Amino acid sequence: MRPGVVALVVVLLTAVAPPAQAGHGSKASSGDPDNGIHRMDRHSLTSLGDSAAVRGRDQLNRADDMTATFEGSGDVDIYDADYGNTSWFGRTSCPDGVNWLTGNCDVFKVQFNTRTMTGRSAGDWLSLGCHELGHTAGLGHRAASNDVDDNSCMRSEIWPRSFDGHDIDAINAAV
Amino acid sequence: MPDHPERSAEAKERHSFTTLDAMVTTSPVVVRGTVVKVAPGRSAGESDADRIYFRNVTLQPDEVVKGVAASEPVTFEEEGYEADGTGYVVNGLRWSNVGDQGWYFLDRGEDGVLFPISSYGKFVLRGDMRGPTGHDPAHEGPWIGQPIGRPDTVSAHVRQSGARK
Ligand SMILES: [Zn+2]
Repeated sequence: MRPGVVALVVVLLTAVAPPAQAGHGSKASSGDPDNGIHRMDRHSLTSLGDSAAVRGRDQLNRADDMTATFEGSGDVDIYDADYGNTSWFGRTSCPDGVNWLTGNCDVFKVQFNTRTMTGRSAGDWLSLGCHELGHTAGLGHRAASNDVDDNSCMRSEIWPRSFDGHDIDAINAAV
Repeated sequence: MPDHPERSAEAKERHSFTTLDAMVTTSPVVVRGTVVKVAPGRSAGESDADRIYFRNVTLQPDEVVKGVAASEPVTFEEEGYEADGTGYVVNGLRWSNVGDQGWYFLDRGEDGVLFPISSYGKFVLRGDMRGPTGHDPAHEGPWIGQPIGRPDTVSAHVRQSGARK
């Protein structure tokens, strides 16, 4: 591939991740949900991974416009495994791609890394579940500068176990 | 395997640096180098559906601030490919290409494997997309306040941070 094309692809990739706005979190580059119902599949999770998935479901359901359930499947696939030494604890992606026109993702994939989570508390797993499932509702990361009371699970460097009011509002706006 | 990433994954990272100094201090390896080889690496996952594949990037060091021998090539892992082979980046950490030159801030797993310590853990000095990697380096992370348009000054700051203990 020619360098110009590579640069264009990178620019397009960057374009799906708008910069953070003051007072709010950024949008997730993995896209918005395509509707207000998340039918989520737990794929042979460990007990800690399962607790994280349950926490994420319950936190998503705090948003009036979102219904998250383990009944049925097709919107979110949740896995945990030893993915080795990575820079991350968990990740959320849209493997089939974010729709260019709508910015929506049809099927999200969530992966918890049991290797990098080794030694972390049960409460940290709940925070991770809230965080990653938050990405499947279109939430990006929060920073200390826009979460001054340190109560959003969308932070990376601390481990709150719940969405705050800004997160809930953003979920309702995204679906 | 594709030669460019098409997807962007969101990740909760182990490190969230707010200063370049902190990233240099925390990284076991800080090196300025030139990418001489990119090859398929290990895979991880429990099923075909959740498998991810890594890329092995080999650097020839041009300048070592810490952590490796200056004479030996350095290989680190970067992500990656999804289960179906589609390329992805994590939190805007761009892929390395042969011929890129830059600063690399690497972590080392207990198995000895090196990998970027953060999505902001790379600063490209020569290549298609120069400057720091990561979703939003102008507004968050260790590059805030750094003169990213003046690579010589950035390099001087990396050396200064490496010299402090
Ligand atoms: Zn995240």
